[in-house]
Amino acid sequence: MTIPDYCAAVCRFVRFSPDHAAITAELTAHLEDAVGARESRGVPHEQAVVQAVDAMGDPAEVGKALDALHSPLLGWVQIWVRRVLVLCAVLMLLPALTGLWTLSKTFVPQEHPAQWQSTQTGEALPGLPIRNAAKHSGYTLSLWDGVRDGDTVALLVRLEHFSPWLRSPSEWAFQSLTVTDNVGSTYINWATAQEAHLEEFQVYASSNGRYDTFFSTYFTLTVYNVPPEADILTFTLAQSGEPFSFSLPLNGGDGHA
Amino acid sequence: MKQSNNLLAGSTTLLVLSLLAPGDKYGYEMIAALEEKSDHTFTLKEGTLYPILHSLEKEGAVSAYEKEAPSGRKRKYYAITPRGRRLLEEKRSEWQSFSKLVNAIVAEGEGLLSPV
Repeated sequence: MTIPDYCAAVCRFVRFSPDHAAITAELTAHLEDAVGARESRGVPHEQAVVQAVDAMGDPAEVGKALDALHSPLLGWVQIWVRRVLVLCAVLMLLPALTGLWTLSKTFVPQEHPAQWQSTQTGEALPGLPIRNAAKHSGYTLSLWDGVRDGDTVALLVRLEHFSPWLRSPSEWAFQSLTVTDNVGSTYINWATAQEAHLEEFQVYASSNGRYDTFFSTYFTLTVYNVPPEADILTFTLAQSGEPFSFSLPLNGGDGHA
Repeated sequence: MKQSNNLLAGSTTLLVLSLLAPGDKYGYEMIAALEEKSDHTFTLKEGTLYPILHSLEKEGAVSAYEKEAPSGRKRKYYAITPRGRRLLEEKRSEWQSFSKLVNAIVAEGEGLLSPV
C-alpha cells in the first residue's frame, strides 16, 4: 500500500469530505517523515514505505475513529453558518458602499456652473460674478452669473454652507424675496402671489440641483417685467432672522438704457 | 518484551499530553519521542495518534497550527493549552493512584508486605 492509498483508505471512512484534504496532508506528512527516518537507517525506499504504512495500523480503525470526531452534521452547520455570516456582512456592506458612492458624487457637481449661460437666452449681465455679495447665518451668497433678455432678468446665485450642520437651503427661502429697482418698482414674488391668489408673479426662484455640491447650492432667480430704464435690482430677504440684501447692477455703464 | 496495547489504551491521553507539555510537536515527532523515551518498548499504532490528537483539539486541551518543520516541510503542530495542562494534572494523579494500587496488589501477591 502506498502513502496515497493509505490516506484514501482512511478518508473512505470519514463522511465529512471537506476535512479529507487536511487529514490526507497530516497523514502524508507523518508517513513521509517515517519513510525518511527508515531510509536514513539504510532501509531501501520501497521497504521503508511498506514498514511505515504498516506501522500506522488498520486504516479502517483510524478512519472510523476520525469519522466520529469529524461530525458531518456539525461540520456542515459550521460551514453554512460561516457562509451565512459572510453573506450578511456583504449585504450589510453593500448599502454602505453605495451610500459612500452617492456621498462622493455630491462633492462634484454634475455640470459645471459655467454651462448655465448656454442654457439661457439674452445678454450676459456685466460685472459678474460678485462673490460674497451677502452673508446670512452661516450661508454665503454669491451672484454667479446672469442674463437680461428683454424685460426678463435671470440670475444664477450660489449659496455656500461650509458647516456640515447647516441644511442645504431650498429654493423656498428665495420665493419670498422682496425685489425692487432704482426706478421705484416693486416686483411681486411667487410667495406673495400664492398668498393673495394672484395669477401673475414677477419673481421666481428655482433650482435644478445640477451644479450643486455638498457645500454649495445654486438657484436661479428670475425677475419678469423689468423696465428698460431699470439699472439696479435690489433683493431683500426680511422673512427670517437678520434681514439681508444684495444689489445687482444691470448695466455696466455702456450706455444701455 | 513488547507491552500489550491494552495497557496503553487507557493512558494515551496522559502520554500525548505529557509529550506536549515540554513543547509543541507535530505527529511524527511525538511518535519518535515516545519510542525513544520508552526505548522502543511502546509501539503505538501510529495512525491512532491522530484520532487522539483531534479529540483533544476538539476538547480544547490542545491547539493546532501549521508551521514549516526544520526539514522545510509544512507540518501541523500541536500545542498544549491551559485546559490541557489541567487535564494532564488530573490524568497524572489518576495514574499515580492507579499504579500505587497495582503495585500494592502485586507486592501482596508476591507474598511480601507493601512497603507503604
